[in-house]
Amino acid sequence: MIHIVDDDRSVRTALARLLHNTGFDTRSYASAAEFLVADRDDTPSCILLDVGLPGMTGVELQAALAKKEGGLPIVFLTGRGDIDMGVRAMKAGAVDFLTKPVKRNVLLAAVNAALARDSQQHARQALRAIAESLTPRERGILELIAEGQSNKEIARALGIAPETVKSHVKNIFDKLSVEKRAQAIARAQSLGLLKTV
Amino acid sequence: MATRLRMAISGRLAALRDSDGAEPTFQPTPHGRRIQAPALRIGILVFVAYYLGARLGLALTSLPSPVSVLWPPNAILFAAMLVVPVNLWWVVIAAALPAHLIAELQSSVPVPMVTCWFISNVTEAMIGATCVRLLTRKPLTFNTLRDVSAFLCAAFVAAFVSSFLDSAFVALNEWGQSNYWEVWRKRLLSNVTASLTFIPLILTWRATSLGQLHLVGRARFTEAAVLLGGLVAVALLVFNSRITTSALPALIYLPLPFLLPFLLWAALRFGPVGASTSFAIVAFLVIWGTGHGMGPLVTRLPAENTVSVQVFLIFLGPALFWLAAALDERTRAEQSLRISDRRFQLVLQATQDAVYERDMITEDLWWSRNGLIQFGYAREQCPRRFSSSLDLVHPDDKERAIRSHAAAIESGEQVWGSEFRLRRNDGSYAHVREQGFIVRDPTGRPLQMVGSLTDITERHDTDELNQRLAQASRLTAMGELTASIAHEINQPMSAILSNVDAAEILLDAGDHGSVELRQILRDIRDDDLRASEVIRHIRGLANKREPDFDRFDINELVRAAVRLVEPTMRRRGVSIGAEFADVPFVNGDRIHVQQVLLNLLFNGMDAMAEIPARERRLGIATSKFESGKVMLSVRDRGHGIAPGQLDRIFDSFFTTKKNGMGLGLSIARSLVHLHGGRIWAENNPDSGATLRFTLAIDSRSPATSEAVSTSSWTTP
Repeated sequence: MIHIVDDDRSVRTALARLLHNTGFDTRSYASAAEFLVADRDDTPSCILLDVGLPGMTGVELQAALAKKEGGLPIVFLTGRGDIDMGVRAMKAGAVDFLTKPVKRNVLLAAVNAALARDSQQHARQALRAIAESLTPRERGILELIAEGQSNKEIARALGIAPETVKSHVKNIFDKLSVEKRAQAIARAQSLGLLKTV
Repeated sequence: MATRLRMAISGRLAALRDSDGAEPTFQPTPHGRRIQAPALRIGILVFVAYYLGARLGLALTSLPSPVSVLWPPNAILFAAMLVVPVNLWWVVIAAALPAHLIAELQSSVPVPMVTCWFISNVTEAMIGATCVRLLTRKPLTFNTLRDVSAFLCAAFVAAFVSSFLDSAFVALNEWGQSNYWEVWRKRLLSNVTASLTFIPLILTWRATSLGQLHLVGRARFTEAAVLLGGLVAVALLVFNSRITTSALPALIYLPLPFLLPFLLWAALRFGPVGASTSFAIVAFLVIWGTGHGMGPLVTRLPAENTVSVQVFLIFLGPALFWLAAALDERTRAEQSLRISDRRFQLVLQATQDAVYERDMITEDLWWSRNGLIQFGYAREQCPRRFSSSLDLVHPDDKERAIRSHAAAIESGEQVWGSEFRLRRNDGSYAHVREQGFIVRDPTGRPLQMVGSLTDITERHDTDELNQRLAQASRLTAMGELTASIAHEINQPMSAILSNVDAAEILLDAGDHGSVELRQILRDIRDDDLRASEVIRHIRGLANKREPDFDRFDINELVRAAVRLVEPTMRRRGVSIGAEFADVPFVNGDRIHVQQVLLNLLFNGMDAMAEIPARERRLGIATSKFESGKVMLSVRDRGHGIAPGQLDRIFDSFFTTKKNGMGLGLSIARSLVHLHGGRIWAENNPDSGATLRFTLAIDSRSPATSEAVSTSSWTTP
């Protein structure tokens, strides 16, 4: 999903038309505020942001988004070739800084780069969410599973009933979206949840 | 440096002037009581001198003749009248009369004859003194050829003319046995001899400041004494001894080889004073000796002796005086040259500048002592030829430097100046200002160029920095304007591009005429219109005002506009000339018309930025045009306009300038059109272009402008 923020209706429309016909989902906003209040889904997204917006400028919006966790990658568009502003925007994490009128391949390259960055961010965030959903006890049990211990061995080691271990393991499997122990170990490894390999 | 150099030169001239004599002109003596003292002194002096002179003359008159060999009183009167201002001549005459009477009456000459002689003597002195005053403007000092020539001429004319009178008097009084022409001839020779002997003596000694004699060194006194002794001894030996007396005509030349060394010595070493004094001594001794029948000039007849003495002296005297004057003139000229040269050298040392002299005939270069030392070159590294000096000039500046020299030579100008880069010995370049003047012969042919090179690198760098800063701030302002304009235009451009890209994708996907495609085309058209609207809007910014039409004097408006741009013009080295015709008032918006005119003036200045400052000249003219129109023209001498661009220059965003927006002339055109006028450009036949526009004459009143017929003025 590409969020196009530009106060110029015809620019907005033309960009949306081009990106849509290239195969992207787009949403258009006439101002920064409009973008901020809109609902967004979790699909990989980026913002195509005009620098010279009325009210909150593109750079200000960038700063505001940076404070929030998981800000979207931004590709700036400007009608004035302002180098200083470009440098500042890039330092603040923008993917690219393009001047209008922008060539198609340049625009598409920037948008693709932004979306790729968002996908990575998205994946990392999801994994972090999973890791954070495990309780300390579940993480301990997961460690022991990775060591190859059976439920009984785990129950003995932790001094709890095997039935309790079993229900923990089931919860872990659910949270990691796996069904077998081997799968759980592989997932745990990929999430970096294990202290030792 | 220019000032310093000029000072040195004027110093040189002043020195020459000084040495030419302080030129004390005849000072008119103040009238009134203050005359009394000098008048009395003059009277006594003349009386005494005249009396003694008369006695001397009588003493030298060896024969019973009305005319002596040399008659000093006339010369004394003559000298007195040269020295004394004209309004005191009466004192001279009044004092001389009693002296004359006393001296002459002693020798038992009848009173009428004595009186007649006095009249002829006074006449001679007055003629002579008047002649001298006509021929020279300053007191005679016998130190210039002109002085000597004027004196000789006056002395001869005075004696020549007055002798007619004298002879007539002698004939009337029936004095002596000589006939008219004999008396005339004798008196002429006698008086010329007297003038030659006494007047230079009196006047040269008078011009010598006796009060400063004590400053003269002992060696010089000794030399004078030796000269005097030698001269007297030789003259006595030659003229006053029997050894040389032989009545052989060939011996008439005998005195010369003996006397000449001493006479030349006197003239060479002691100048006019030496010459006049030694001549007087020789004259006295030759007359005395010959009168007593001794010396080589003695012939068989005493009367012939007199003539031979006189002829000898009349030929010797002028030659000696001329020689002394010529030598003196030369010595003084050399001295003054030496002094001015020393001053010049001092100035050269005081300045840091490198000063050179270029001989236009041999093309040799002479460098001042500093030479190019400040540029790292040793004295012997300074170029000796003009052509090789050009190797030191930066390649890019060489042509300009040569042209500046050539232009100065060809234009007949006296001074020139240029700036260029000069290679230092270390290979770096210094910015140098060259200034100088050209010495020409009377026909205007250049003989020498004297120039100075001033290192202005520091100043130049500062200037350049300032210029760059100014340029930067101008560009910033310009940059902001362009940026905002760019933004305004980039928006529709951007939309158009993306729309075209989208359409292409659609077409590639096999879409031929979908609703979306049509929508895209519609949007492109809208954005295109929007872009041109932006441009129209920008042009509108320039004339946002509602036009305020009124009648006004176009000449007055031109003057005001010129005043407005004058500082800029001065800074940019542009001069302006205006020509005002007697035109009626026009109808229009003053501010708009001024804006148009200013635009044309700035354009003209920009057009001439690349040509030499000397040629940067704008011409403004007002004139009547067709019926009911007044035309205003702005003419520049710049690069002109390419023929194909004559119409395009008024188009928006058409520019030939590096930093131009291409809006000025387009705005000017819209303003002129608003006034119902026309604006166009023409290339001049010689150089540059002329931009003209017309305005309507105000129909209400045919009042003419304040310009009185055609007048023109210029500003630097």
